[in-house]
Amino acid sequence: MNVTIAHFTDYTRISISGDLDANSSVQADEAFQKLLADGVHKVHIDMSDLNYISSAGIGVFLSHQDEVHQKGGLIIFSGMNPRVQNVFQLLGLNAIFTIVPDIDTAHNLFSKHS
Amino acid sequence: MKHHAIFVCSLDQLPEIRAFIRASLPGTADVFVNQVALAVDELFTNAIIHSQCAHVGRDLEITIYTDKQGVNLEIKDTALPFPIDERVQIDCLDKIKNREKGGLGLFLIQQIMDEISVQAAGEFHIVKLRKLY
Repeated sequence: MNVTIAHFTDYTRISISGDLDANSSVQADEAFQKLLADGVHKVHIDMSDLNYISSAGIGVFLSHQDEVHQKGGLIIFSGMNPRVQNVFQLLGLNAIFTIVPDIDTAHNLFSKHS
Repeated sequence: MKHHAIFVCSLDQLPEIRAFIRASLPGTADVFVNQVALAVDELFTNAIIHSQCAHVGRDLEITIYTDKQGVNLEIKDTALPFPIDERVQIDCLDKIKNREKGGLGLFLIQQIMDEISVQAAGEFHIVKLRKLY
């Protein structure tokens, strides 16, 4: 699993690739926590190269959603493959999180949110 | 045909465990296979985190086989017994509000599998799972 951070004018993108499971989610959680500590609260989670996610990976996003929301921020997910999308659906999170098909749609949403 | 494997009790093994499940279900729909791999991942993660197996060098054993109606799994571990066959409900909005990370794995296993049972076998527990096509 790899985490790449890119800062843009309106938001910060976290690109996660590989498998996000109970072992690798620690690294993703640390990256997310550091961004929040640095004052970032508009976060784009790019999952276009994410192959797999388990409940531990989902837990990373679940646990930071409230803090982001309280700070007036927003988390947008994009690029989920059908396997990853299915895990979000099994937990009913597709009705709670903001999930869009691709990077461009996420970018436009952040522009509107600014 | 039955596929059997033994894994060291460590979270490092999770990718190999998932690869074993995928290799055991050739020609099966991608999302279906991922669900089976996810359920096993969640079960192993629970066993690794909540048992002492990592400290005493115990292994985790898995057997998988298919029939005309579905996929069958038997997982033998030394984890402390937990009520995997008792239905749980979760509220993700509550988890967000309480900033919780955990507590989703058992729910996912129950969402994915059609049949779940647990048998005690000496110091081991054998969890049996079945998912219909």
